[in-house]
Amino acid sequence: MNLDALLTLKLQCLWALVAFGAVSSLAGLLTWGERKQVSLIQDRIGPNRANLRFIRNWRLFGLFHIIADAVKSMTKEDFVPAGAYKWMHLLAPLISLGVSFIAFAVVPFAGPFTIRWRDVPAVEIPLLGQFFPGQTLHLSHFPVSFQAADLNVGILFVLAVGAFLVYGVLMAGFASNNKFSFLGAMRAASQMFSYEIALGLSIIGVILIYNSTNLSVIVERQGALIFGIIPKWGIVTQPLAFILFFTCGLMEIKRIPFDAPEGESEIVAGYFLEYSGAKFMMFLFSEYVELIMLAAMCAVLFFGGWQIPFVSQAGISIPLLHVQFAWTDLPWVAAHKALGIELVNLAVVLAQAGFFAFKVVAFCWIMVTVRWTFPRFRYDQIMRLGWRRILPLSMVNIVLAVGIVLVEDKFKPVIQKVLGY
Amino acid sequence: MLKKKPTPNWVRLYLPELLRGFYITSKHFWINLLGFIPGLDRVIKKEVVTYQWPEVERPISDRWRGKHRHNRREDGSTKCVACYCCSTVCPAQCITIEAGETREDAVTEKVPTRFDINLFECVYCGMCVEACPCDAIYMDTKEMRMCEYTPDKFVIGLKELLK
Repeated sequence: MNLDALLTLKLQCLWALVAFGAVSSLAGLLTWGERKQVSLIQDRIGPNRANLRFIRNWRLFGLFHIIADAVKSMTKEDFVPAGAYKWMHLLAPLISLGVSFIAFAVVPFAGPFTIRWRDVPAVEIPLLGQFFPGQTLHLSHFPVSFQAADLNVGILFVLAVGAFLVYGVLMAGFASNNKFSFLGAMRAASQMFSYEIALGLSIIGVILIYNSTNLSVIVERQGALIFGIIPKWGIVTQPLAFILFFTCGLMEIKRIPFDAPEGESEIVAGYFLEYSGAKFMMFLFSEYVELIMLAAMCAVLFFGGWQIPFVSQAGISIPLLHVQFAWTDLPWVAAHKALGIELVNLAVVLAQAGFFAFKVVAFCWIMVTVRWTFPRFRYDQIMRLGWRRILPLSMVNIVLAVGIVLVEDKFKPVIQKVLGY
Repeated sequence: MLKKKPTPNWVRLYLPELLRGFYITSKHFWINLLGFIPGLDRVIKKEVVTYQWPEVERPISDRWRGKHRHNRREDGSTKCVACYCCSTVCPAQCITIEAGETREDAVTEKVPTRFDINLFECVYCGMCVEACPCDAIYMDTKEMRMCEYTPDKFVIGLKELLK
């Protein structure tokens, strides 16, 4: 290990922490946001009563309900039913929550960035420098990627983690010693397994078109422009795949309209019926984390991830309209040379991260609205939809994707010539 | 015979109808969200029907039946003549009356010495008001907040009724 690798490792640990913090705070906000949103949809105001006693009438639109909920669930009795497998009963929520966080390791949340400063010899580095005598830290050209793990099999990793989600549910259902819980777990297992096939097949189109399973590469290639003006996002090239992926994703995270495993009207609360207090909160929290995971995957695969249309590290460019603007053209940047370019690049990276966060939040909004719009499917309807509608459609989509790839290869030069860019 | 119309194909496609439902709910959301922003609320009329009780009182109809009260005469005494009509008609049997003899000024022959209504047992049907021949008992105080720590506090007597 040399100093460069050490810095990369440190940065990756930092990004892991950043992703964890961002996701868990967004999930916490969603517990409040969902209730607030549904109340607005139903012409109500929603939770706004929780306040801190020492500041009167300071309620912040009910944001204190997040704290109130946490305190309430922590102080409740942690109930384990008689005849339950005690350890499995404890392990199930831990697995659910732990696994749902893992997938964020491969999500790139901003574009690549290069530090161009100067080489730093080990002598000048305090503390750690003494362990690497004679080496240098190459900060004159140090590429930084904004994701915890740049895996070549990013998509497969996400799918594998998604497949793991079912274990927490199954364990909860089996361990609770309750027939309703068991029914819920069986429903969850069967529907999650049957939709995973369609979930995997619907992504294949995206893999074919962007020719990679690495998420950061997929996002980078979505920055290209079709006909010199339309961003080559997944939603443009693979609209059918997006609908299928979104549907299967909703199924995978067991959200309405596919929440038969919970089905209040039939099996009380399904697999987490026998959970209370902090463990129940963990299940609830993991559900919101899964929701954010699906939102992030939709954004990465189909809505360009961190890509801002037409804007890149170099400048703004729309070839069809012959718009070309480089950041170096700005008088302030030109005056400051290297430092100016570096600051502009940093600003672009920040903007990209912000844009990615915006996309994720927008998708969370859509999923919450979906939940409060659509009724729940019956169990047999879920199975029929999965096996007889979505699975064949996802196979058709693969054929379509192959066609698109062929057309693109053949006709791209011709189109460029005709449109004149 | 009622003939069932076949569902149109575009409805059976399911997705357009889903999108229509999505449009309706999100329209409610945005109207209500933007309606809360000061300044914009003049342009966008929000449809929220919540009253911020107890800070904002809900308007109560005159016909609404709440806590009971007694009508007074000009001299301030109750109009009740202890005829037992209300306690007879009461389906919950929550009115207890004890009659006393003539008042000192002899306006009426009987007066209640005790007139207790148990608000816990009362079903607020308003039959006592209908039955009263002297216009003495009313339920138009519009008082709906009746909170006490012990059940016996809910038994109100003449003093409370004449307030």
